[in-house]
Amino acid sequence: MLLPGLGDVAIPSRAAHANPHADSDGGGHQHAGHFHPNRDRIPHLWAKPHPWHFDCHPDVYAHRNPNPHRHSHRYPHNNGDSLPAADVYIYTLSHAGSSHEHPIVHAHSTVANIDDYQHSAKLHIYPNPNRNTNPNGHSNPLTLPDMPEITPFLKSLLSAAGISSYETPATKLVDEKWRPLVDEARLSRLGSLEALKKGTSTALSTSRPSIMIATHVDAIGMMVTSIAEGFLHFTQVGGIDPRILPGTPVIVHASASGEELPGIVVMPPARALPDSVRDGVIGLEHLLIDMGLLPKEVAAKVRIGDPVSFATEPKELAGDVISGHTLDNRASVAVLTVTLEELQKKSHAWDVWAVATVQEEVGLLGAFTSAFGLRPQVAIAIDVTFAKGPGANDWQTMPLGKGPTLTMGPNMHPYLYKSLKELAEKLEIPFQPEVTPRMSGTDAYATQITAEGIPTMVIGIPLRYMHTPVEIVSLKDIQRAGRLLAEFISSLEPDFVEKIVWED
Amino acid sequence: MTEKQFKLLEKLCNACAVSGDEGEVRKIILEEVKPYADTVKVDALGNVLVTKNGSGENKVRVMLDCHMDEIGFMLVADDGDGLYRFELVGGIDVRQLPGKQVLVGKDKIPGVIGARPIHLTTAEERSRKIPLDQLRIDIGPAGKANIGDRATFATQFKRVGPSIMAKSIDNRIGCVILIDLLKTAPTNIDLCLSFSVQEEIGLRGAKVAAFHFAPDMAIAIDSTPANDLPVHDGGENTFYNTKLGGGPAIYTFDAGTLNDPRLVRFLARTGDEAKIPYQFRQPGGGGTDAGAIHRSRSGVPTVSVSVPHRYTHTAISLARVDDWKNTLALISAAIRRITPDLLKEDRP
Repeated sequence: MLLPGLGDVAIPSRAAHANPHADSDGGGHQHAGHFHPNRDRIPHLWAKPHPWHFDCHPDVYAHRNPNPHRHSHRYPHNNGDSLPAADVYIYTLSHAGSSHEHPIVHAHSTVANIDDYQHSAKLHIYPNPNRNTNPNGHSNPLTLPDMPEITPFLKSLLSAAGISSYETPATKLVDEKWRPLVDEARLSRLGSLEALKKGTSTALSTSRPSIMIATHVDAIGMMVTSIAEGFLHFTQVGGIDPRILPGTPVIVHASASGEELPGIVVMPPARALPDSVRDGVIGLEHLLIDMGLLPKEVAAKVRIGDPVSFATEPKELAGDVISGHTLDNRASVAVLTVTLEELQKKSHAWDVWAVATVQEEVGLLGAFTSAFGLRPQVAIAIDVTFAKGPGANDWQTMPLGKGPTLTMGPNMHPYLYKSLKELAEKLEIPFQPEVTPRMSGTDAYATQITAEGIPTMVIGIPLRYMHTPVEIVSLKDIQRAGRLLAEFISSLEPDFVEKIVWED
Repeated sequence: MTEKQFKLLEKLCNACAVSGDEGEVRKIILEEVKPYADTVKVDALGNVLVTKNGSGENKVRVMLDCHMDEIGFMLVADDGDGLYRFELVGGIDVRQLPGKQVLVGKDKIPGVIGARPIHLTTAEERSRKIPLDQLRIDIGPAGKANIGDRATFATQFKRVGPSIMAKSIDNRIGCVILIDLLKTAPTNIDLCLSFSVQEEIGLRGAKVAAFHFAPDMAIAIDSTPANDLPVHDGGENTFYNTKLGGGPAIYTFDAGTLNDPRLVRFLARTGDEAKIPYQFRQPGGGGTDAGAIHRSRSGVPTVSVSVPHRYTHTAISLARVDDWKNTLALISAAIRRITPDLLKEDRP
């Protein structure tokens, strides 16, 4: 979540606002769900052909094909020769988490966990005969509850670096995970991962409405400002309370040697500090990073401007919660991944743009730019929100593990709030109403005022100790939010956008 | 140092042994020393007391001491929802606590010490230290621990270039040196080894261990801060205590002990003759088990030698492998040179 006042969250310039056609990104199109040919040629994007050569929803494909296993594809970059080397990406498609690994759950809803299952009415579950054997002929046992296992992916994301503007280690992982779940994926000009899962609306594809789900993938972190006697001075990228830093393990992304090197944030001894600060809070200007190397080794490996990320290992704690750094906002990337996996078993009329946005922590930049480029009819930001915990118990805080929050306030369209709330109530998915009287420190603050304005909503994941290396979220809340969002997307009628009105 | 030595140090550093609850480290040490000792005893406080006798006449009875315990926390109140209030055991700066992972109790339940989100703090609040009474150990909403359980930082041992990064280098590095000294014990002296408890809360184990052994002389092997960091204004750091990479730190004077000058001179002479780098710890505060040993019974000539390391009593300390190696080498060379004449030398 953005620390207010830290980034530039000004409204985009009026010039761009008034004349979207001036933007070479094809942003002038009302319905950006359509894949614009101009956009395909932009070298930063890595659009690839859809691996399924059927113009239909994967569910339909799965039912048509007795062996729905999607074959592994490896795409050398089609345009590699014409691109600068830095822009060439080669990815192997992974099938981890693809829908055929799970028995189909036909019901009014799928279940997020045992608790939700027990409260869920009219549940009918049966295996799909086409899907209960894998390609090797082994029987897949029918397991309950049938929610995608997201923890291993989340842990791998938490172990990946990716401070603002250096998100590639994280976007790569997300791309590998999402690619089998979507039709197209590419990087925006600022580096956000934009993945399209096409809707089934039978209207002309040019007019198919789209919903953008923004989950920022960047992390707060640090950056080297100078090197003194083998120690690194640094500054913050994103909002960090310097009081949490002494004794924190970090990774220095040493650009001169290309290595990822461990370090410790350290507080100099009292006698090396000015008298005025030695017994108090040691500010960023006095904290150092010790890499355990000799000064000449440090000088040879590290450059000013090198990014530094937290290295605290993710850890599962008692009660179905996970602790780690950068759960803000990789927890929400996990939510969106659950949503995409759930959508493999559902049909949806709308196009879905799953976007791992960049540079949220420094001013919501990925959300501003992707919302402009994709121009969705509806935008939902998923971000973490304050959980109750030590030092955090007022009205701004929500209990951990009692469901995602649905947010009310000026940045959120009341109709979207109402639709999600009613859906959650109908499906008996636990949720908590949250109020944000002024600025939402999330990507929603950006998407709402992009271009001619986009109806926007925020789903929050309660999180303890935000912007420390030991943030905590509930894994249940991730599953619940992911499922709610999938149900919401699946429920969108082609004319939903016309219903988004002001009930004055 | 050999892989085996690194493995042992790793095992010792990763073990949890807050003062008064040294069982895990005691167990490792007992396993290591038994094959090499003449006698092994665990006393009333939990000290591991080991003897290894030399051969021949007129042997000096030399006590070597290291402490097994480490700084940490004790859970003192259950706030519910997996949150526990805690107190500090040993000298810990509260500024080192927020944002750290910990391990709680004998089962090493993982937990964290968090902090209020920066978004909910005021600039004025951020200018003050976060006091201990605002911090909790959080082991997750379904977590269950017991009042009285100890907790330590959860840091795992790591080798980095010429260095090691770990918790509790103070004083597991002393323990591993003492174990190696036993394994290569010379025959010119009677060795009495104490792996002592409760150093961090007042040198309590060493006090009774010294009484038990009644040695002729003693060397306390510990670890001491290297405060050799750059000074904020770019000036010379003249209060560095010790320097990392400078070799074993020989004590002359600390808050607890004026080290026996004959033994200080002897260690320096040994280093010079054996060409082992060493440094003198800057006289000042702090202290080691020597503070208890040298006043035991009718007095024991005592000196301290420490491995310099940075960031003591924090989640992650840092030491140089060379300093570990040279500390072992210096004491190993020194004890081989001990004769009854050493204690007959004139005092300066």
